[in-house]
Amino acid sequence: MGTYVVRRVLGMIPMMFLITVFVFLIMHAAPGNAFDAIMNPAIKDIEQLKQQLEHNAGLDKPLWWQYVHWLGLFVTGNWGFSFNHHVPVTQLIGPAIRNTLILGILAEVLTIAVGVPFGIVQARNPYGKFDYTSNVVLFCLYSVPFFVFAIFMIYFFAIDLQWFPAQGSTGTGPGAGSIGDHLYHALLPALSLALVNSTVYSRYTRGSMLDVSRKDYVRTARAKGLDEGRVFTKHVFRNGMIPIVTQFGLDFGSLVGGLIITEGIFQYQGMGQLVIDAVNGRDYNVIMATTVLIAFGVLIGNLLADILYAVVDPRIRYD
Amino acid sequence: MSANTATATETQAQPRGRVSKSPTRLAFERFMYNKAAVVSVIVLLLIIFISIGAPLFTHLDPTHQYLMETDAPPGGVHVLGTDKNGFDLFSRDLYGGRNDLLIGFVDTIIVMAIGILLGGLAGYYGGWVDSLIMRFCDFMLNFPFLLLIIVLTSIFNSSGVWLLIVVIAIVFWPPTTRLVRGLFLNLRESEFVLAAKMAGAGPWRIMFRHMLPNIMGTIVVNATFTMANLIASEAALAVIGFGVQPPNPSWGNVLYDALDYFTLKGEPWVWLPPAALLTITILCINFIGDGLRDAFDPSFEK
Amino acid sequence: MSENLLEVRNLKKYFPITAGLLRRTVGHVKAVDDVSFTVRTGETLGIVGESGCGKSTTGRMIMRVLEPTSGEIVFDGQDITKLRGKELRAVRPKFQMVFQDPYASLNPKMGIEEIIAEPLIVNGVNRKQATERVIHLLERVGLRADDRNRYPHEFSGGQRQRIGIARALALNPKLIVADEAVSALDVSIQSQILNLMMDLKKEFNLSYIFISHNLAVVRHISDRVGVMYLGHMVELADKRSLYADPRHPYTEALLSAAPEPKRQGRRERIILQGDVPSPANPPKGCPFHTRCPKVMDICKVERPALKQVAPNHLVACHLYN
Repeated sequence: MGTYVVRRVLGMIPMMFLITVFVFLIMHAAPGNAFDAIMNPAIKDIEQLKQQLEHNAGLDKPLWWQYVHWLGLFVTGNWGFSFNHHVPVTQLIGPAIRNTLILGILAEVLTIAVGVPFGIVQARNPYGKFDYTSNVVLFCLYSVPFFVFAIFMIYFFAIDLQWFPAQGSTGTGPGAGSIGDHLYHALLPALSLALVNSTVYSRYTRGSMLDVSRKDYVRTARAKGLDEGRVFTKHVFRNGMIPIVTQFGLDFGSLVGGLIITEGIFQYQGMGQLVIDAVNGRDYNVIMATTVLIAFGVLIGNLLADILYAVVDPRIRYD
Repeated sequence: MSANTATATETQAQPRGRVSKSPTRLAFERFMYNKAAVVSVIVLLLIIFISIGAPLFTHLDPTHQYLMETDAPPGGVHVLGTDKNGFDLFSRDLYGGRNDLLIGFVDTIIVMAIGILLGGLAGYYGGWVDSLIMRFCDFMLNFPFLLLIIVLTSIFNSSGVWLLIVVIAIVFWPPTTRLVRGLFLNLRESEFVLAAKMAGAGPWRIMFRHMLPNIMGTIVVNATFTMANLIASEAALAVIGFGVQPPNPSWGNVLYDALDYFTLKGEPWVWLPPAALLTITILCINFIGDGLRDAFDPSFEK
Repeated sequence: MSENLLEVRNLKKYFPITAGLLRRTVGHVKAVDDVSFTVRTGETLGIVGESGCGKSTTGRMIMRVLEPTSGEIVFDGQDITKLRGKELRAVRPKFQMVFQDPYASLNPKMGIEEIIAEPLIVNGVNRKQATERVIHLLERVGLRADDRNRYPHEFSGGQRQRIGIARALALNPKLIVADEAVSALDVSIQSQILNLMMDLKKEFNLSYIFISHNLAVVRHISDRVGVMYLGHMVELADKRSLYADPRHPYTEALLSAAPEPKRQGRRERIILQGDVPSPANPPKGCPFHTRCPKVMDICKVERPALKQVAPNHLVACHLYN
């Protein structure tokens, strides 16, 4: 187990390296550079000034030098300056990560809190009327794109009923910035992400529970007279949850994708919104920092899911 | 006359009794019994028809801005009104389907082609070929795909659909490749593959004549679900402004232009139709995939 | 009749076991460890042993679908151990295989004609001739010519095995390796298939290597029998000699455990203690010494070689030194 974790962590290093190379190359391939975006074309001797600036920034050096230089700065936490917000990138990213974590965790908690119990209820009475109807309903819900849900959410709960704010991550006034305020703003976007995802969890939970309840050891447990509740908690539930953990790991990448879109729709000031704004404003330093950080986030998330899986499933030996 | 006699003798040579049906034929018959799937095929064909045949239903140009008639309510020349930029909504909803479906179909084909080729090679040969392809897959899977699309499409600023198609394909091939690799790996040691090797068949013949037909069912099912996913993903991108770029219409970018308080509250005809079309299209494709999965289920055969 | 069709010399197959951070190879599973034998033209060599003794691995190496770790396979005077790609495909027609699982060995998506004709088509026979050959083969293995238009799922296990045999015969091979070819079938069907194989052997001038865990089946079909234990060939003798007078303690134990209808001199049932050791960590010396009722000191140190103890009777055991 220890060796497994160490190997997985070491395995991440080349991946992280590749990600930084990749991001650097994409940015390098971008037409124009940061100076084109910010310089006033009316300046006299613009070409000379530009060359001077480019020379100072090292843009006339070979590509590998620029990469190493950038990587060195990046690793030491020097992520440059946002041209659009006129503050260091680090200052923008702190609150953005916090907001995205609030939204992401809330969405995932809601997904599991809705999806897993529902799947269990289905699996307790399989192939019945409720099971059949709810399966059809879940399948239809699953086919609704989550951003369509988001739009309906905004329409009903924010515009019509005015229960929740339609956008933003914090409000104004005395309560602004409190935990309650954050959750209040995150709830609607989190719900729109969670509803569709929870149908996936319901399907997996139902299937997994049914698989397990057909196993011989469960039949044995019933045969020896254990009551149904004990059979379920002691045998079916524990073993049935293992594939759910795998599902959680597989979902991590798409959860991040969903977060970016949701933040865009709700104008929620997290990492996603930061990326979208940065791309629209050609704010290169912000794009590079956020892209690398999000990719690292996915990598670490997958690692945690794998380790969690190893912990939950005692059958798998990692040496 | 002579042709007639020839057919007559041939018919006689055929075995009497029941007709032999190939496994594919049996799967098709099972699919036709699935009502939801068959209805979905019909509805999807209808949506394809109104998208491709859009000029039959409207003579308005979806890319033209009627600047004097912005935010017009439904009725008159503009059947579904116009949006805040003066685009005619009815024609955009119809023509928009062309781009969504085009991206869905073409990208599914590209993704499947890459997946079958790379996944097949990895699964069949194993060893370093497998390691190389799978490490590359891992890398692509770990890279947040939406981010990549956002960055690439905005850097190579272009309103064409084809760049988007290429970028989406680059991002979506890894899961399919993994799946196909797993399927090939399962079959690699199977006895009929060994038998083909013993017969002297080369790697390509074994991969495409023996292994591929046996996993085609799973691949086709995966392809339908992938298509639904691709269409949804393009629309999701468009909803935050990075999908098909206006004035080129797509269901997603019609939604993008509806995302303001005023439009959402007072003009449901702007956002309801594209949202409904998208949802129905994805629902139909998923139902078809579900029907195919049941049809190909090999547990029936044993 | 006495000419050697196949010579297997010092054949080994080690599967590496990896562990640790760098996936270093820390050991090997010695599936087949130094096995040598010959198959004469026209004879049937049976190979028996428990599951995991390496008999299937041996069969697959001879058929060149599994790469040997070391050793030599000389077939019909030609060393085929190192052949690859096209060269290998050129000699493949001469040796074919009949598989264990009649359900897994036929491609479910192919029609019967395609399945049997494949070896012919791949080797450049034209369609028309291939079809004629398929019809001939089908009739020869006891099926109807019409059956070529049907699919595997329409046949029973025994019929499928007949199809598998027809496919193996398509290229007129000299040697057929049958790996547990009747184990998956009902007992009543088993004898039909065995008899069919014996008839075909005469008609097509075949030699067989018949691999099975079933002593009665091997006895029925074989001329000579080899006994394998933990990757080693422990005894190799004429059928009569082996069944009447087993020399190796392991063979004795095996035979005493097998139910036999017409047992003459009553044998005492020998019950072996313990389990088969792991091939990843085989015992030093004789592989059988951990369970051998007649174990001696030397058995724990030195591995006995396969030696002739009677005419056409080879044993690897220190008892006969």
